[in-house]
Amino acid sequence: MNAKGFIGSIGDDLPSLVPILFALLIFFSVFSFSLDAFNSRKLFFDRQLEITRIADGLRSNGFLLEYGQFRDLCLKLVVSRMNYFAGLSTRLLDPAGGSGTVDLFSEDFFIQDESDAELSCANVSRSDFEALRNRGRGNLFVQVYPVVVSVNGVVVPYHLVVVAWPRT
Amino acid sequence: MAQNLNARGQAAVTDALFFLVIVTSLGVFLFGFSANYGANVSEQFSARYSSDFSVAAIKSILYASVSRSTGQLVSGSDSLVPADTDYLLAFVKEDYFDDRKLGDPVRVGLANAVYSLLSPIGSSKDYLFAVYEGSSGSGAGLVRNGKPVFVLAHISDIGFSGKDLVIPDEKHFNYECSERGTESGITFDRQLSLLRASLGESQQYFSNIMLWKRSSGTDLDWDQVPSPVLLLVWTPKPKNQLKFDSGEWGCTEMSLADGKLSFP
Repeated sequence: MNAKGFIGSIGDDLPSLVPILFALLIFFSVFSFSLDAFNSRKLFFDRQLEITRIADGLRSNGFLLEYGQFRDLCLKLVVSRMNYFAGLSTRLLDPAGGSGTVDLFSEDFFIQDESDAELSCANVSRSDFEALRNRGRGNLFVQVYPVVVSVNGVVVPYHLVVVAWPRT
Repeated sequence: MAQNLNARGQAAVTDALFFLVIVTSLGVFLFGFSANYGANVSEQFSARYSSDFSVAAIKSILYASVSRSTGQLVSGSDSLVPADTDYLLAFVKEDYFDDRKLGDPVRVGLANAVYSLLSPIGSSKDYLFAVYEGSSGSGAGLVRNGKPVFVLAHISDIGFSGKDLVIPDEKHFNYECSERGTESGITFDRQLSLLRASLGESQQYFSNIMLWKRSSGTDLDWDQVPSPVLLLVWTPKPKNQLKFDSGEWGCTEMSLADGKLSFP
């Protein structure tokens, strides 16, 4: 019988294992990449939804009756998945001619209330918020909305600035 | 028999190659899907934020108070002196009543209110804020007016130098265009429509206010003038692609100093 190159019934299938293994390698690599991309995008959208929810909760309909209403809205917020720091600011109303930069982390960025305490809403301390200054900004979410506050019958415009970042 | 076994081995390799081709095709499809996943959702987030910001801006502009002495938006400390303040909208209505036009102090105050409240997006977006007379009457008596009461156009100075796109650092033009004559023979509505068509993708937001004008009869009569308030926002484009000619629109360029707009 002429049996050149004949290894055996299983041996003849050995060369076909190479493309099969290669195909499996490609499939699982692409699957793993896709799953990772899907999870990271989903996480990003969840965080965006969270900061949008925080901002919607704090600005109400955009017209706050007194500074006290801002504090009341703050107390009603329940945020568990992200750290946030929010407040009202006048610094963006006059950004030094439109081309100036403002320091979000400076002590005078957010306004103070009648008792000269910073009018802010946060689930972290001021020092934790200021520590972000030296961190990378990759995971920082910022939203700004114009709002007005009625104070003694005078309607004062501000910007509501909400800064949120994921919990480590 | 050897040939038969050899043929089976070749068939197995061929099958494996087909399997490789199919899996590679699926892999390419899966890769393409994952690369594009979330693009629509991301656009919706951006659109929703843009919409919420613009609606909040219009509301803030219409509700805000100004100082009667300076015509500028009040700050927190001004709230301690309520006698000196009034609603910006009240200023506009008072000034409009006599001659259906706004004087320079009110135009400057309104321009600065719009510019300040839209400053977070002012460097990355162009916008046009307009208050204009709407339609009045009905049926055969319907009058489409469209006369602008106040128009502020914030436009980037992007142009071409030869084939090169030139984008100066932070350079914007701020035009106030309510001094519009009728020499061009084109209505304000039509100019707005042409501008919108040239913008491509843009967002527009409306509100409505009620102005009053002195009736042509006696001093004691007045007519209502329902007036739309429009905020049109778009991504900056080269000037030659915009259907916006400051001369045709009857615009005056406002100068910017220390964050405040003023007429030269």
